[in-house]
Amino acid sequence: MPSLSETRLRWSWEGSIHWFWLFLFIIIVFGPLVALMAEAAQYVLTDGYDWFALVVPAGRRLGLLVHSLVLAVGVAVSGIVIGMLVGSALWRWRTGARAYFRWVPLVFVALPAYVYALAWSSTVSTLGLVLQSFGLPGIQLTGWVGGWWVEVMALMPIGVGLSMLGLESVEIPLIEAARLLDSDLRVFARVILPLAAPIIAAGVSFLFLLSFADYSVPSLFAVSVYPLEIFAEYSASNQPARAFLLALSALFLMVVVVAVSQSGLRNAAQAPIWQGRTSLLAMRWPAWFVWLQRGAVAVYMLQIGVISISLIFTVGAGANLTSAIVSAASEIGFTFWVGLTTGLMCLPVAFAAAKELLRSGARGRTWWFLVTVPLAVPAPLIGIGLISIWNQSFWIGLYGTAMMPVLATLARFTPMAALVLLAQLRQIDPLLVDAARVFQTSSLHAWLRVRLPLLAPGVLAAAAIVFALSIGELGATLIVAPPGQATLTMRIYNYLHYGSSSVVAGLCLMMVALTLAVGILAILALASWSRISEEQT
Amino acid sequence: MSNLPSCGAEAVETKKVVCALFIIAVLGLISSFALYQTKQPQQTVVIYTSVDQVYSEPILKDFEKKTGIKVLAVYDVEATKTTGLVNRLIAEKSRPQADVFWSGEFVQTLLLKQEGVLSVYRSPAAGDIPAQYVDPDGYWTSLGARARVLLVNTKLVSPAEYPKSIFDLLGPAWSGDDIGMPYPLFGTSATQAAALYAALGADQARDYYVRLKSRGLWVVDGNSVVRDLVASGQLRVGFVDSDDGCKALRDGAPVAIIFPDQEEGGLGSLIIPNTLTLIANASHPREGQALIDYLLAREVEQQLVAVGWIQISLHENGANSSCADMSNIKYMYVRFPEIFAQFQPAMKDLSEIFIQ
Repeated sequence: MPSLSETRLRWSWEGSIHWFWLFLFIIIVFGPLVALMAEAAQYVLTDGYDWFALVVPAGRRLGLLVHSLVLAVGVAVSGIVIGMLVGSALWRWRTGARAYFRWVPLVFVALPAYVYALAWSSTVSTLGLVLQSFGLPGIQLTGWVGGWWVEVMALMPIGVGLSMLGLESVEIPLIEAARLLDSDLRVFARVILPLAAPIIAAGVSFLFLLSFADYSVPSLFAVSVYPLEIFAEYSASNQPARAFLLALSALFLMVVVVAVSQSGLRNAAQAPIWQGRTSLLAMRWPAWFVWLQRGAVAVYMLQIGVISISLIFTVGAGANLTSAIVSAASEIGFTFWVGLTTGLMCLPVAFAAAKELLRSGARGRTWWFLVTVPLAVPAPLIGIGLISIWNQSFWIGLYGTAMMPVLATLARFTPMAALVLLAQLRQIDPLLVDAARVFQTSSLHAWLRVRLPLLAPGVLAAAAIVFALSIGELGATLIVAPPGQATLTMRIYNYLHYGSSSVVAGLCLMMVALTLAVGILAILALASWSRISEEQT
Repeated sequence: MSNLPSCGAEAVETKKVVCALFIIAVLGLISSFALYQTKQPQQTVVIYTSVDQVYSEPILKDFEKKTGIKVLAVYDVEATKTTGLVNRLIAEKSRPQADVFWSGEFVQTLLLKQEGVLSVYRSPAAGDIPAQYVDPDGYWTSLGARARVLLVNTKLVSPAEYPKSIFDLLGPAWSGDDIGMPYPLFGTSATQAAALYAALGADQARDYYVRLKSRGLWVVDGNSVVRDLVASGQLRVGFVDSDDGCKALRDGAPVAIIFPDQEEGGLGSLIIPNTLTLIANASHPREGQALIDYLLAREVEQQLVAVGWIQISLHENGANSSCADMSNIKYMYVRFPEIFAQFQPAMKDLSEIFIQ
């Protein structure tokens, strides 16, 4: 057992590393915001006669804020409810190939929501024509229903994925013990859901934030939301300070909603998902619940079917796919590199931030603020903030290089990785960590043998989600992309305007393939680690 | 505690190897940015452009082949709603990355001039371009032009019903469900709104948009969406740029392009030229000038007409696009600075009208 002085030395070393990552979080994630805040302060002090009207929405703007809130809450709740129902239906697929297969649909996370909108609009429009040919009234996907539906469909992979991750983290023996005493449905409501709550709450926060910040899908369905107002202001004034001040109220709302969704959660001590993986005896759900599950699975299958068929039909001949891929070879390589680098680099930074989120008191609250606020800032403003910081003569020529898109995606998505890792941290039994400290021969030893295995599902989920979101990022990447290089998403949007739908579909399929490749790598890594762990026990 | 793995030395070694590989992979990824770092050959020019990549990339490749000067481009996308490259140029003003900006319109160029982002360059290749399409101070030069037009679906609208004016759309022959318009707060749709403010006066122009909105027209996310909705028959008529109309025609869609307000005393159709500018304090000014000269050449303009990006030649005796009859088109007479001056007031009004 190490001596007290050795322990102190080790803690000091660990603490230094921890503070280093926190410092990086401040620089990378909060840095662009500090630059924007400075610009906003300067604006307020010089010619910002209307700053109060920008910060405090009233009248029409208040209405838009309410629109955004209602839509985002609706999307988040629907997404997570469907996700939970699908997750509970697929729960029994815990072993063999099926256990991995059920995660495959998550590859659609990376596709731009805009592509979902086009696929669903054309599908519903075709359906409407078919109905009309039978003398029935036609249907169209418009307005609030259209915007809500497409956003739920676009974000469903995340909702389902995080719901499955939450359910997976609940230990089977606990469930089986509870089932001896009560009905399966009550066990689900009173035992399983509370134990899975941290990850499910992270899912709600995720869906809310992604939906709240999006203007593209609602505007496609003629629904006006607050982010559109921010873009209109920025487009008309070209002043980041005004756009940032306008974004403050949205930012405040986002912080509140995330705080509420996370409040009341307590640590739910669980083991990693592969340890003690046992088959769950078939749950006996009431008939009405089974029908709800079937409905949710049908919606999920429909979502996968519509986007897959739409992309495959649109791309047409295989030659179109080949030519789309060949013409975008450099963008594909660059996108893969940006996504992978961001997915890996965000982990230590996000983990340090997640540990701070676990704290109570002023320090914990401060970190909640630091983590949530960047999520609410429109992407182009993040890009402008990055230019303010990195396009300076005192840096070592980082600006204008391929690292800038990585910094942009890190700034946008590291907070999301922190939320996922926080959920995982909440599910680690502190006794296991304490026990590891007692028996560890070195910090690294304890990390590799105990903490990393316990964290691995969250680490992989965070990396995979950040990878998928990074390769689909547009607003900030465009502002800092190095001349001569572009991401796949930039090319997709360029071709969307041109109207070359077969190229767009081909590139989207490529994006799905990239995500699938990374997903398979993550699953292989998880399986290898699981095998090594099982060999030792 | 039973979940704690036992101390198998072999397994620990395996894990150390795995961990080492992971660390190497991370370090490799981080350091490999050097591979992606822009390797700038001696003769390089950096261009930011809001012209669709599919049109501009081949032209830039041709320039590379003919001059040996490497072109590094950043292409804007419609989805960023005019908040992309122009704001990047403003933010980079103190240490510009770009040498040349090729814009698909002119309002943002005038803004860049106002912000001090641009440098004076009078290209010898612009000698025969009419004076109204060249900045008198020498900060920008026009390169061909597009027009704001109406696109009608010919299966749903007979020639006798074609609107002759944008004001016809306020009449009883058209319901809101028939008409599509991109948000007039972004891109060329915003330019058209500012032009109407300049041409009609703020009150009359605001009234036009209020009445249009009150009819319940479809306000959608960009010209390309309007084009596709009209082409597919979901809308009967829509406001688009002439390149969108020509694209739909090339794709075989049942559409017709209408240049509105051609009657005696009518407003005429708004012309939106591309603009070319040299960036102040550019790193490669000579290469930038060479690229501007190249792009302004009559042959390149004709190439852009042929591929469908621009429809109107600004060179003397230059041929217009054949995708629509453009002989004797009457253009809206409003000076560009007047349109620019109306831009912000118009956007303030239109935000209140259209974002509700």
